[in-house]
Amino acid sequence: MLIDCLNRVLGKAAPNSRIHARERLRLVLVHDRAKMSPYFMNKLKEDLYSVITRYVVADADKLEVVLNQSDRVDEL
Amino acid sequence: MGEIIVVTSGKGGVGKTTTTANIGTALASEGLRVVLIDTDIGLRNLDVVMGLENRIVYDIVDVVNGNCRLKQALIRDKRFESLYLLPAAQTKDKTAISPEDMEYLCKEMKDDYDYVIIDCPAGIEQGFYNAIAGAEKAIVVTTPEVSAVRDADRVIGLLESSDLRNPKLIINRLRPRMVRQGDMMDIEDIVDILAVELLGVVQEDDRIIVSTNRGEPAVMNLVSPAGEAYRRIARRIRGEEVPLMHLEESYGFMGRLRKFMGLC
Ligand SMILES: Nc1ncnc2c1ncn2[C@@H]1O[C@H](COP(=O)(O)OP(=O)(O)OP(=O)(O)O)[C@@H](O)[C@H]1O
Ligand SMILES: [Mg+2]
Repeated sequence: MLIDCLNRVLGKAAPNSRIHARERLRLVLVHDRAKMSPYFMNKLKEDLYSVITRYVVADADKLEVVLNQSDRVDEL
Repeated sequence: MGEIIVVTSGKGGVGKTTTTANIGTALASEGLRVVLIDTDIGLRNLDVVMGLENRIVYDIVDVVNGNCRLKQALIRDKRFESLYLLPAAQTKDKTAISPEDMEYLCKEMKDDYDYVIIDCPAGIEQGFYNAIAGAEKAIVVTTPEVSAVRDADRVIGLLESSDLRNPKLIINRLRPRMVRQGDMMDIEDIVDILAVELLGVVQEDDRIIVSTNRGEPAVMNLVSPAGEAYRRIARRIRGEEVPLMHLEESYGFMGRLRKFMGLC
């Protein structure tokens, strides 16, 4: 307790693991909710790319697959 | 006509039994008729948390198997005469009852009580499906940790696909000091991610352990912050609008002194 107070007075930065927790949780839940592993997510992205390039000229690096989450429903 | 509420979580040990005991006791202390059902067959605990373990004669499996009538298995609380417990069996396993049994029991009790509160076992196997079968509403308990919130998300999905829409969330064991230091997810992080309605926040409180030791739910203790949080949750369940508690590390003298001096 006292150490914490001292640290604060001395301006020592807190490790802030909260941000890590939040971001890791967000990612894990994207996969859980889509019932899709990170591996399949990548596969999906590749396949989407190959289909899209059949019709239009596109650059793989510039293709972005966005998973939107609104109120517990995920949309691609 | 009573309300039938299941308390569930996915992950084990996050506070389902503590929550069931405290909400039930708080509601009964207002004169409401309440029955608590322990569905954690083989690992019964609600009896001990309520301090009623010495009074058990029959259990839920006896009722389902027709060894006794429902009224015979119900144990009346020591403190509040409108509060009852239907204990789980300790010697059987989760296959000893079925979802249909639970639906039947809940229907039987709905008219005689204002609230039927079901303590669900951990996990998402048959015990979970038994516990939710007769419920009309669900409370999901989590702690501010990645694994617990992840499991809560999974359970919310399963509840919704079982037609228990809009479950309400209780965040248990929050440590205000760790949140302030940026070492614990805060209320907003969790509510945002799970996208469900918040029913209440209960902070980490040593008195929970003391009250479990004594078999006396924390809502009976007027200086316990967790007890106060559960009293507020009970009022919200009754439909009152009650503000969230101001989260304090301690109600003790040192805590107040520190706050007064604006130190931590
Ligand atoms: N707010 C709190 N502060 C401190 N300790 C707590 C708090 N809530 C629960 N606990 C403790 O955590 C432990 C687990 O609580 P509890 O038995 O209610 O969880 P559970 O979800 O019912 O567990 P299980 O999944 O095994 O049924 C208990 O020892 C309890 O005393
Ligand atoms: Mg339990």
